[in-house]
Amino acid sequence: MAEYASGILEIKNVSKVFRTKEKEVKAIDGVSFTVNRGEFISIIGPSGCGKTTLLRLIMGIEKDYEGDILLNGKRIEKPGIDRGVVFQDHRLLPWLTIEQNLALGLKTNKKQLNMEIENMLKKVDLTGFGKSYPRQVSGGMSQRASIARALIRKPEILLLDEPLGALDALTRFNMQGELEKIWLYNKTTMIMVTHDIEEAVYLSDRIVVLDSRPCKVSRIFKINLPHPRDRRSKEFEEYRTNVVAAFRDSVGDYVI
Amino acid sequence: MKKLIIKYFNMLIVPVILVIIWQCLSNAGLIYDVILPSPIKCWYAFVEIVKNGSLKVDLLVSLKRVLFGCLWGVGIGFTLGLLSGFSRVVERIVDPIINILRQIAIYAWIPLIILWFGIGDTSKVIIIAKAVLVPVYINTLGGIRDINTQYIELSKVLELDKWTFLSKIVFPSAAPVIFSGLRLSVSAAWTSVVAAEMLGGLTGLGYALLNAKDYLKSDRLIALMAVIAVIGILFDNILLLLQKQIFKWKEA
Ligand SMILES: Nc1ncnc2c1ncn2[C@@H]1O[C@H](COP(=O)(O)OP(=O)(O)OP(=O)(O)O)[C@@H](O)[C@H]1O
Ligand SMILES: [Mg+2]
Repeated sequence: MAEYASGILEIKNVSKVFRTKEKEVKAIDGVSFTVNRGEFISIIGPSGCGKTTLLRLIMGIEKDYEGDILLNGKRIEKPGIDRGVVFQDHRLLPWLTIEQNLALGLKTNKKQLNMEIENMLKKVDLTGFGKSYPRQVSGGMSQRASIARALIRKPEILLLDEPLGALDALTRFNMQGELEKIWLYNKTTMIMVTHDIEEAVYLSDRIVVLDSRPCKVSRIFKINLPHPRDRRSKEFEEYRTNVVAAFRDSVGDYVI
Repeated sequence: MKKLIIKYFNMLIVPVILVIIWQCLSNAGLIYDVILPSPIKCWYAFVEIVKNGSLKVDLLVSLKRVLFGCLWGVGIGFTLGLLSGFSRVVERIVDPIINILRQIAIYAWIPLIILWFGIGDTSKVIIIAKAVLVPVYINTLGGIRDINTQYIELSKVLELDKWTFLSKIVFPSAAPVIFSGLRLSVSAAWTSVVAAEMLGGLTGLGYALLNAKDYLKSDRLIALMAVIAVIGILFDNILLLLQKQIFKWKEA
């Protein structure tokens, strides 16, 4: 029943230096961790510590890195649809309807494609909005459409860079639930960058806390709580407090 | 509906007041008729050229020239813009030529073009095409070059093939800019056809203006100018409406 794929991602001693005329910036310095099949991993860390850069390396957009990033054992060299991406801005094309955005570039025959789109829209709770333009739906709906666009390509792994960062608190809260449902349903491997520790504890199997300048792994938390999680439970609160403490350490003198 | 009335009221208030003042001054005998005939006289002149059919003939001649000039100008400008947009080599070759073209005002071209192509339709169409080509080219190229890098990233992530990338991302994102170029160029076409007809030829609105001047028919002159203005505004509004229709997705 391999309707959805889920890959293993190994990040092995990865470093990335940006060279400009004036200076060199070491954005990532020897980061290693493995993301298991079907696992939900969150990455948190101080602003500018290289989270986006790490995701862009996995996407294959940023090249020339040291170390290895292996997806199902194969080194990542360029972008590809085996990795789905959800950007912070939904990045739907405004001149295409939600449906057309989902279908963009897919070569499946029309009937099959329409069925898949229908199913996918249902899964992200957008039934009936396929013919709407992005500007006609809310921010949360756009972000769900953007998740659908990534998932319809059945990626091995889904990469999310602060996917809910641009949403208001309430929408964000609801979207965390949606994301949880989608993940529980698909069991696609997911890596999400976030600034929201509660969000990370709510969704993740493990949380990778990064240190800043240069970016290193500071700690990895395993969250042993069943889904759906209760944000008010004592265990949840304990995990949250621990991650906050670790995050404080990694931020050091900075203010959160 | 009420909003619409207020809108048109706002738009028309200054011209209407000016015309009323002008009519009053004429009635009081404060302006010479030959220099500036009264609005009513201009209106009669307008009715006359409508009735004797000369306006229709001149207008159709000018409109036909604008149509063909636009077709050529848009065709060439758009094609060159696309080619330059997609290839730096073509851009390096074409850009300087367009730059030279645009530095020399349309009026400076007219004598040479008349020398080469005479005073008939051909030279008018060439002059208009030149006026149209430049804004269309610049906006097409600009629209393509200004494509959001985030969309380029997206198409990499989605592994879009070249054709899908061009037709679904590059072209639609450039289209609004290209269309503004089109609007600019239709204005340019309309102003340059009148200029071209005035500087050589025996037909068209521009020639009719010249003719009215030669006979000191200032009322007809003003009537013709009003017609030119109204038609120009009409063109622009039609294009504006079209723009709103085509780019519905843009509206907030
Ligand atoms: N293309 C680039 N050229 C040069 N330096 C870059 C480039 N991209 C990122 N950097 C640098 O790399 C570092 C990490 O940037 P990155 O965007 O990955 O941080 P981040 O953790 O995602 O930050 P934020 O939480 O604010 O999104 C920063 O110091 C940034 O200035
Ligand atoms: Mg970032």
